[in-house]
Amino acid sequence: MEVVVLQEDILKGLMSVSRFVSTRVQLPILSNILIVADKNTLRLAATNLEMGISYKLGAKIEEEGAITIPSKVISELMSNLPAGKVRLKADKGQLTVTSNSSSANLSGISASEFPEVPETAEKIDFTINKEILDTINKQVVFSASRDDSRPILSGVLFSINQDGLRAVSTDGFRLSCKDIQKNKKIDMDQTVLMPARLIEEVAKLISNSEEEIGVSVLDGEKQLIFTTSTATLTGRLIEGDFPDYKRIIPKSTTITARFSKDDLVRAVKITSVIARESSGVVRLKIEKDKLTVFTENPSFGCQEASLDAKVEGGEVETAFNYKYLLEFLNSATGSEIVFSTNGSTASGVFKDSTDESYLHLIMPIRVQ
Amino acid sequence: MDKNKIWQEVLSTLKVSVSSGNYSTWLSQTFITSTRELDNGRQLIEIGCPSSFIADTIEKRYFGLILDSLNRTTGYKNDITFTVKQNPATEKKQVQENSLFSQSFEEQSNINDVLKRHRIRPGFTFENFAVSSSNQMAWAAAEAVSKDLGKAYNPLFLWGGVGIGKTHLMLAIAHKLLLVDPTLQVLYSTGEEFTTEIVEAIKNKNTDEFKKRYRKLKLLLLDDVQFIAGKEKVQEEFFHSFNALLREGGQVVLTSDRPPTEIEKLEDRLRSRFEAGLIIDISPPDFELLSAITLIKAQERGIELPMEIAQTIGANFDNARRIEGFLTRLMTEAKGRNEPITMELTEKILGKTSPKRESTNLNPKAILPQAVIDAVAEYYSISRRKLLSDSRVRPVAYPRQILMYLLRIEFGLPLQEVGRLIGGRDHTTVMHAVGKISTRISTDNALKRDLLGIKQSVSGQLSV
Repeated sequence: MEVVVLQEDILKGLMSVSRFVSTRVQLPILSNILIVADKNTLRLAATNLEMGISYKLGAKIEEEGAITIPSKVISELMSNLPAGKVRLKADKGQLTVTSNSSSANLSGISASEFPEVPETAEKIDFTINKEILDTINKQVVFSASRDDSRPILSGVLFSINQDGLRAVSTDGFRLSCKDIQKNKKIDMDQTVLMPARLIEEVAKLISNSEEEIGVSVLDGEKQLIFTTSTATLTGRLIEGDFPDYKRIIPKSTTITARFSKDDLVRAVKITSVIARESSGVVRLKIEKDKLTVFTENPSFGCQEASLDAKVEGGEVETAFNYKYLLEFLNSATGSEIVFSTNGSTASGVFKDSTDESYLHLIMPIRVQ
Repeated sequence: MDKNKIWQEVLSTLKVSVSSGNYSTWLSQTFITSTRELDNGRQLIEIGCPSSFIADTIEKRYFGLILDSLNRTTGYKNDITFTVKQNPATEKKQVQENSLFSQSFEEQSNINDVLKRHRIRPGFTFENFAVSSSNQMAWAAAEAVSKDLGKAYNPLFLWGGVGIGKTHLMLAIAHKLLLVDPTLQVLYSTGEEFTTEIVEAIKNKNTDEFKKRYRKLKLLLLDDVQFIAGKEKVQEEFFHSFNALLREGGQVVLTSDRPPTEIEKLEDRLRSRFEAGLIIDISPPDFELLSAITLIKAQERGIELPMEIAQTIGANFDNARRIEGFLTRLMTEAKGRNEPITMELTEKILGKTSPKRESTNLNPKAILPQAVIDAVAEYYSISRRKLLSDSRVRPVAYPRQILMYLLRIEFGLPLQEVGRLIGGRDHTTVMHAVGKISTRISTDNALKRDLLGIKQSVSGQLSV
C-alpha cells in the first residue's frame, strides 16, 4: 500500500475513528485502526465489537493495500505532523509515515485479522435531517442510562409513524421525550431502540457539515447503520421492551410554576456548592410568586436562592438532584421554564414554554 | 444432551486451540440458541453471538474448528448457522426496578381506589402470578388479551379447579389495563352477583338501566359463570349483553370450574358463544409451582422465606389458598412466640393443619378403597352394590373396570387385593381391566375426563 494524503484530512478522520477503538484491550487488534487503500479512496475503520465506523477520505492512491496500526500511536503522530502532504507506505506489517521533514516507522498487524466493518448500507430505510439529530442528541440522549446493567435503558426509543418521530430515553430517574413533526412524507410505522452512544457519535461526526443522514435498520442481523457522506457507523439494535413510559407521564397536574431559565440555572449552581456534599439534593419550594432553591447540610451549612415565579395551584416543596436539573436546563432552548407537579413526591414535569414538543420528567428525592 | 452442556464442552475444547485473548473476545459470550434434528443423523445448530462483528469473525475464522468439535461432542453431522442475540444467561441479572417506574406510595393507593371502584380486588397482577407448565397457556392468553383488548381471544374462557389462579389471571388483566387508563369501563362480577343484580333489576323494574350499564363496558369479567346455568331469564339477559358487548368490540373473560360443554342446563346458544372463543384449562399446580407461589405470597407479606421451608410447604398443600392460610398461621405463630420462622416451627404447624399429613396418619389402605368405590358409584350414578355385583352389562362393567384401574394404578393396591375388594374376583379379571383401560386412556378424552372427575371427588371426600 502506498498513498499520499493531506495531514489535516487524515487527522480529522483519525479523531473520529479513534473514538470507536476498544478501551478494554483483550485482543490487540481491536485497539488498532484499519487503513485501507482501494482504487481512489482511503478508508479508515475501527470497532469495539459493539459499534463500528468506516470513514472515507480522498487521497492519491499509488498502490492498493491495507494494514492496521495502534490507534493511539498513529493519532498522536499525525497530530504532531505539520499540515500538508503525508506519504503512507505499508510493507510487511510496517507502516512508514513520511512528511516534509520527518519520517516514522510503525509496527502494525496484518489487516486480515481485523473484523469486518460494514462500508456501506445496502438499503436506506429513512433519513434524518442533521438538525433533528442534533436536537435529539442535545435533548434526549443525555437522559439515557450510562450503566450497562440494564441495556434497554441505554437506548433511545425512536417511534416513527405517519405523524412524525418521537424520541424517548430514560435512565429510571428522569425521562426525556421529544416529538418531531414530520417535514416530509415518512411511510413507515416502526419503533427502534438505538444505542444512545451511537447517536452521540453520529452527532459529533457531522457537527460541521449540513447533510441528511441515512438510517438502515437490519432486523435480521439486529444491526443499525447510519450513513453520512463521509462515514458509515454501525451499531447493534437493542432488544427488549422499552418501559411503558407513557404511564409515568402525568396526564394532569395540580401545581404549575413559570420562571426564567437563567435565574434557575444561577440559583441551582449556587446551591450546588453545598448540595454536592449531601448527595446532590437541592430542594425547591414553590410559594405565591416565588420559587426558593435551598439546601442544608448539618456539617457544611445551608444555602438559599430565590427567584420570581408565576405560580398556579398552590404551594409545594420538593427535592431533586441538582445534576439532573442542570442537565435539563442546558438542554432547553427557550428562556422560560414551566414546572408542574402533583405534589412533593410525584414526578416533576419540566417544559420549555416556547417548545411544546419537548418534555422532561425528573423523579423527586424523598426527604423528611 | 442439553444444548448448554454441548456448548460448554465445545467451548472448553476451543479454549485450548485458540489464544486466550481470541477466546474471551470472540467465543466466550456465544451460546447455542436452538438445535434441530434433521433426518439421517444430521443436526442444525444455531449459534447466538452478541454482535454482528463477532458473528462475522467467528463464521470466517472459527467455522471449521467449531464444526469439528461439535461433531465430536454430539455424534451428529452438524450444520451451523449464526445469529445475533443477547445471551439470556448474562441478561438475567436484573437490577432492581428504578424509582421512576416503581409506583410511589401515592400512586399505589390511587390505583387501589380505581380498582375498588371497579369492584376489583387489589394485589392480583401478572407480576405476582407464578407460571409453570400447568398454567402457562392460560397466562400467555391472559397477557395477550391485556395487550390487545377485544381482539386477541374473545371471549377468553378459563376453567379449572379451586385455588389454581383463574380469578387471579382475570383480575390481572383488569389491573394491567387500569394502570394504563384508570377511566376504562371495566366490571368484575361473579355469576352469583350477576344473577342477584338481574333479579333486583326485574324487581325494581329498571332492567333498562342494567342493560345500559353492561353494554357500554370495554371489559367484562364474569367469575364462576357456571352459577348462571339453569337460570333462564339470567341467561337470556347475559346472552344479549354478551352479544352487544362483543359487537362493540368489548372483551369478555369468563371463568368456570368446568368447560362449557359440561356445564349442565346452559342454553345451547350461550354454550356455542363460549366455545367460539379460546377455552383453556388450568390443571392443578405441581410441586414446583406451589413452592414458587409460597415464595411469592411470603414476599408479599414481607418475609424472606428460605427455599427449603417454601418447598416443604409447597409439598404439603395442593392449592394456593391453603398455602395462603398456612402462611398467615405461620406468621402469627412466629410472632406470638417471638421466634423466627424456622424449619422446626414450620413442620410443627404443618403437623397440626395439613390435610395431607392427617390422611397419611390414618391408614390409607383402610379408607381409600372404600372412598374410591363410592366415588365411582356416585360418578356413574349406579349403586355400590350393583357396581360390585356379578352383572356384566356394559353400563356396570365399564365403570367397574375403571374402578379396578384406579385402585391398581393410582392407589397401587395388589391385584389380588383389588379383586377381593370388588366382589371377590380373580386377579386375571383385574389384569384384563387394567390393560383395557390403560390402552384406551391415551385415545379416549371422555375417559380421561371421567378419571379426573373421579379422582377429584375422591380427594374431596378425603379432605372433608
